[in-house]
Amino acid sequence: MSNSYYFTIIGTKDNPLYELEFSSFKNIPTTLPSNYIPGKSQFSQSTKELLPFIANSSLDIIEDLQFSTNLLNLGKIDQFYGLNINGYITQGSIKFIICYDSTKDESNSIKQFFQEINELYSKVLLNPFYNVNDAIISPDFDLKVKQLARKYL
Amino acid sequence: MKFADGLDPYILRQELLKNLFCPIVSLQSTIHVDQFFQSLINDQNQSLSTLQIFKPYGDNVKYSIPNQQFKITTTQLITKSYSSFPIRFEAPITELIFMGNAQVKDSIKQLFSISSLDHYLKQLKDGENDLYLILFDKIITSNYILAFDTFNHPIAQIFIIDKNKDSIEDLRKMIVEFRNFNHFPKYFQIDDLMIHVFILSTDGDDNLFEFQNEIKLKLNVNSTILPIIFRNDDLLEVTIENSTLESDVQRMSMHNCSKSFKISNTIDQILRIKINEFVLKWLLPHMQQQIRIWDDQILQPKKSITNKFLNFKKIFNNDTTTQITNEFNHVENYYYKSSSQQILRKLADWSLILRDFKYSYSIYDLIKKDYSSDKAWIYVSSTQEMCIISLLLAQTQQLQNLQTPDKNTLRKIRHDITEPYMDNLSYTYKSRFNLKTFNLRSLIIVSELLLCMSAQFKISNWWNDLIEKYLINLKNEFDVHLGKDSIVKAILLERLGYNTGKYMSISTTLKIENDEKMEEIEEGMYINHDKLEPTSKSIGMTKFRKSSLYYLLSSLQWEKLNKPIEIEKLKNNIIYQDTYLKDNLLINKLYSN
Repeated sequence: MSNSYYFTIIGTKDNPLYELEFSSFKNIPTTLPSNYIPGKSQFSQSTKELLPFIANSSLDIIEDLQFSTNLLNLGKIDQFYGLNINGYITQGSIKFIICYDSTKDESNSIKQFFQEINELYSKVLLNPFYNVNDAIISPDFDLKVKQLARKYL
Repeated sequence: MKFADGLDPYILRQELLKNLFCPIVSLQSTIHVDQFFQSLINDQNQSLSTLQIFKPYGDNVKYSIPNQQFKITTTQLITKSYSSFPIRFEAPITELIFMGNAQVKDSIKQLFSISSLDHYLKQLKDGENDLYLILFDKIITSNYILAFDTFNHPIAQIFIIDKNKDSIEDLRKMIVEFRNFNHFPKYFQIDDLMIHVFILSTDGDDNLFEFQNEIKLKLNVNSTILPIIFRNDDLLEVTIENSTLESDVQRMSMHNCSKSFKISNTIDQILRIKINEFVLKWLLPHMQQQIRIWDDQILQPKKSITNKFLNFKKIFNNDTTTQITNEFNHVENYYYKSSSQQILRKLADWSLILRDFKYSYSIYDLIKKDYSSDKAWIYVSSTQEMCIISLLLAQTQQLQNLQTPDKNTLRKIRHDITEPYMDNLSYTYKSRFNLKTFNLRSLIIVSELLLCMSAQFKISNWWNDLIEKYLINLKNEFDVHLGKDSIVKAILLERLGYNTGKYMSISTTLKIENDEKMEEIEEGMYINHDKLEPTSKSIGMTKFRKSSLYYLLSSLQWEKLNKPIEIEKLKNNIIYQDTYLKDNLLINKLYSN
């Protein structure tokens, strides 16, 4: 297990707004590959190709769950090809999805991460030049997400 | 919108009744009959036995006669008629035992070889066949005789003789030789086997009835006449069907063996009519009679209150002979043929063959307890499997007045029967006996029957996750044996896509077409362009995206195997609304050509 994560924000039309791949700064694997760079995801090439599709397929479950729960954080919603998938849905139906290959249950830290991201996303929405469902290209947002990832995961 | 194009599970249910849960009739012919049938086949390069010619005609769905009806009376004296009642023609049990196709001593063979299955599927011509149907057929088709499962025990034995060349004495010899065969397994009851004779007559002889009477008088065996007259009329192509994986692989390795033969139209008609006559006049009455006898003599006493007192009596009674015959043989894993346990299992199997699914479920449920108390684990797991199958077959009968089961029934079927039994039988097959193929067979049958049930009552929300679990289990089991580049994996991923695509979280049919129609805009109405577009009406009710993912994974597997036709077939099932995924490199790579 390489403790790698794939985080994505998906809009209301199934369109990705933001995506990031990273690996844990806390749980560094004992056997390190030769080209190891801290924070760089260790997903294999074949998994990497599939990650957007896996995230997309979990939207079915998020949309199903949104009618049966009041919570924004949906916890672990699915497991696919050895990857765990956690989801979060904002009041505006924007979905946060994280796919990770850790064996540990990280629901708590992911929940905190999602909550902070939601705050960050709300700030993006406040920007008068930003429209809902547009891709988030702000470098500040990217930096802050990376900092949050480092803090919680 | 039609989504998730795939094989209808009802076709597979039909295959199940045609290739597994139907009576076996074994055939033995004299050398003269063999020579005669050989001469009928126009292509002289082919060498086919009489059995091979008869085999396709067992399937009376395909080789039917006009207005055919099979009336079956249950033990409750309810008569139902069916438009088809397939039978399987096989080699005589003596031959099957000789070829090692029967459970002997303590060893039980696997149903099929997993690697030859993969090899066989890879060798098939691209795009010609539905591969999932073939995979399913090859997994369920077997002629292996087992102690704990009597579906492959022959119900009738037919001797075919040539009236002109064979005498009654020859027939007597054949029957005596057959009966005196002293290697019958101890779990096989020869007394239940119906002996019958087909008399081949080629010259329109008038004395046929006398000949029949003579056979009846001398040998006490009933007979049917096959009046075959040569006529040079149109030829009809007949495909060899219902063959096991082993025989198919063998046929494939001998390159000049085709999968079909040509036969004259008249002979084709005669075979259809006479086999139909045999089933109606002899086979069905024989089975119904046996079932009634077993029901009266064994099942009813067992169900009665007095049986409990008899059990006490048994404890104090030192009658060793009955005890030995009723005991389970732990070394060789069987019950003796005349033990009540073995007979009841046969009763349940036969009534399932006669499509009295509820009755057979009640018997499986009853005998399961006996098997567990005897620690006859292989019988327990096989009976558990049949409990699930008979229950699901009963639920998926296409009757007009069949009502949707209520939630309590569904809960019981799922949580009290299907799930625990499947876990239990998988454990027994895999860990106690190392019979992986039996586990594979039960996984594929149960998931298909559940799919049937989902489709019948539109309750896919009940079964979707369970079917997915079983299919993934199945795929993983195959992966362990075949590695990652197997064709079976691609086929099963496709089926996973089909299952997920058929998911609907509500029980009524959803009209997705309406989604695409936008609200009509009145003239002069203010339109707020910043407002988000309304989401689809089916939001959260379908799993099309997950289904697309399975289909995509299947396409990737097909790409590894270099089968572009299969990838093309799946193209319409991979739907992505978003352009980001539509233009994804992966999809471009698959469909660039």
